[in-house]
Amino acid sequence: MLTAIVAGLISGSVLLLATVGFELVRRVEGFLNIAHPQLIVLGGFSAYGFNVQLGMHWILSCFAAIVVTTLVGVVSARLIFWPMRGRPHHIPLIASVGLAFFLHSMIELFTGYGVKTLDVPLQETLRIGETAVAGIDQIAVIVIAAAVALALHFWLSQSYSGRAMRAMANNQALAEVRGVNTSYLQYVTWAVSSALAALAGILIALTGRIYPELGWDQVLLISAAAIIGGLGSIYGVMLAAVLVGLTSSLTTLVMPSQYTQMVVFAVIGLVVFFRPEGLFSGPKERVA
Amino acid sequence: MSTLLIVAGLITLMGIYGVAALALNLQFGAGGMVNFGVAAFFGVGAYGYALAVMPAPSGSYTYILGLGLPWGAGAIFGGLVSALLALVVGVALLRVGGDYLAVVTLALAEMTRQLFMNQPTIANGARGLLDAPVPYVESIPGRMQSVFIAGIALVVLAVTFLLFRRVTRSAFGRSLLAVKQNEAVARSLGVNVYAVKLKAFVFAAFFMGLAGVMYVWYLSILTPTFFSVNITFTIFIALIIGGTGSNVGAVVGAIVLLGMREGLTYIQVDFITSERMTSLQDALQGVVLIVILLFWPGGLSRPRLAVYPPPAEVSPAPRVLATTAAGGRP
Repeated sequence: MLTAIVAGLISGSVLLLATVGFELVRRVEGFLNIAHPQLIVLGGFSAYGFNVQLGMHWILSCFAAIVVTTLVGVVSARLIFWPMRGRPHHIPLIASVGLAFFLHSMIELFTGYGVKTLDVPLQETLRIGETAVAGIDQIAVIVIAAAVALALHFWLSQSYSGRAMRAMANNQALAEVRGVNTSYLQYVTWAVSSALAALAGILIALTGRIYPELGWDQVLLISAAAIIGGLGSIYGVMLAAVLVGLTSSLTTLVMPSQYTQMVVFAVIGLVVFFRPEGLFSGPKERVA
Repeated sequence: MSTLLIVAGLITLMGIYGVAALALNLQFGAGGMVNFGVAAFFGVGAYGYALAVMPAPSGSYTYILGLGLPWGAGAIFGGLVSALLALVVGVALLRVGGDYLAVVTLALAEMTRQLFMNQPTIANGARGLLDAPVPYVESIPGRMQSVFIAGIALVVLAVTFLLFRRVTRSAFGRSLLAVKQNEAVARSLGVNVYAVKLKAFVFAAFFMGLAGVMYVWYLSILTPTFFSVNITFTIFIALIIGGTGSNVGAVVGAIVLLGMREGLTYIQVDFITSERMTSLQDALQGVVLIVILLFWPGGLSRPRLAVYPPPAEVSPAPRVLATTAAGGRP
């Protein structure tokens, strides 16, 4: 029971990082980036590439992976999505699927097929009484996710660029008129979103295993969190991500694990049917 | 391998993807509904057909139903199962609108795949059904069999094409186009937006199921890979290459894409294993999709949607609503 909650919190924290980046892009650019989960896989696998295939130290290779993934995210936005501005919003949506296919197969071609793990020193486990609860690395994941969520909060509410980005998400033309440098902020948005995706992928790789199909599995969870979180504040999305992680982990206690996705799917269906605006949507004016 | 077999197989594949692309064109090209779960309807149709046609289960296989219907009735049954799934999904999602349909249908395909893979009681689980029923497999000898299947596929494609052309030119098709172009205006003109979308979604899903049935005839086996996301996006790419919104484009796109893709598999290079070949094909599909969307948004065959006069002539002439020009019959 306790281990299931810890596992849920871990997958929830990873999901939080992934979903926040997905939501930032959705709000600023106005389309669902299906390739975003592939950036998570790219983060994990480039860490694997630097760490295992090139033999770098694992901390160093994690930083290198974040840099690589951020570059890929920004370049893909510059080359693919920005020229599509002004076209119907399903055009970039479909293009992002093409990008997802491309990234997926490139990952397979460069780092090989199958399940991979990083070369990380073994961690001690934390025990309460006799039962092992969580490894140090697992607790580190939760702490990192919480720290990032806090940093995002301060960035979005206190700093100039964070506030300007929220203004841009709300009404781009108006933000531009008021002197916001929108093209610079779009770079910032994509960079932050891709870096968060890379971080999520690295955390998955550090605590468990990564495999090339991870991205397609994460699409469902990320969009579930985004739908359940709804159109309100981004904190609702963060909370929803943790909830989705917890739910999918706790359902394994009562049901075989292959039905986890179905439970998540059923939850999406119910939310879309009864509260299409999302569970935590507050007043409509709050954007991001 | 004889050329005849290769050509027959290629024609069958083109028929299958052509029918699916026509169906997707009604949903996406005419109706603007982004359905990323084509594979779900495709696979459910295929399984519906196989389970209806196969005799009652015996021996090492486990599966449900096994009605022993004739193949024609089974094909229609497969289509109907797929349409039923579309009805359930459509009732839940088409009211909400937005991109939720795309995400939820994408998840639906993945979920049906896992259901059929992890539940051996439904249709033998991940191993699939290895001798799925093919029409007249006993009475037609060897290699004529695939020619016969290619013939049926062509007939189905032709009938489907004529039917979809009829539908998109009817009053129903025009109101669907109106909904796509401007939902609020369509509603103010008295179109029941939800009903029109739902009808188109369910009607098209029937033919997606039928395409799945033909895929069973082509492969004569049935595994959960029928639900793979690749099938969905092959059909999307075919439609986008051909020209979104045009029935001719859907068929042309399927022919061009399948020709290219199958041609690629006959290239023999030593250092490329079949696994790597699949990855390369996927990468190429992704790049083709992006490049076409970026530089060639109309596709090969531009739909005759709205024929506006050039800007100079606009001012005195009365404006014609885009939708009245849709059928090509002013």
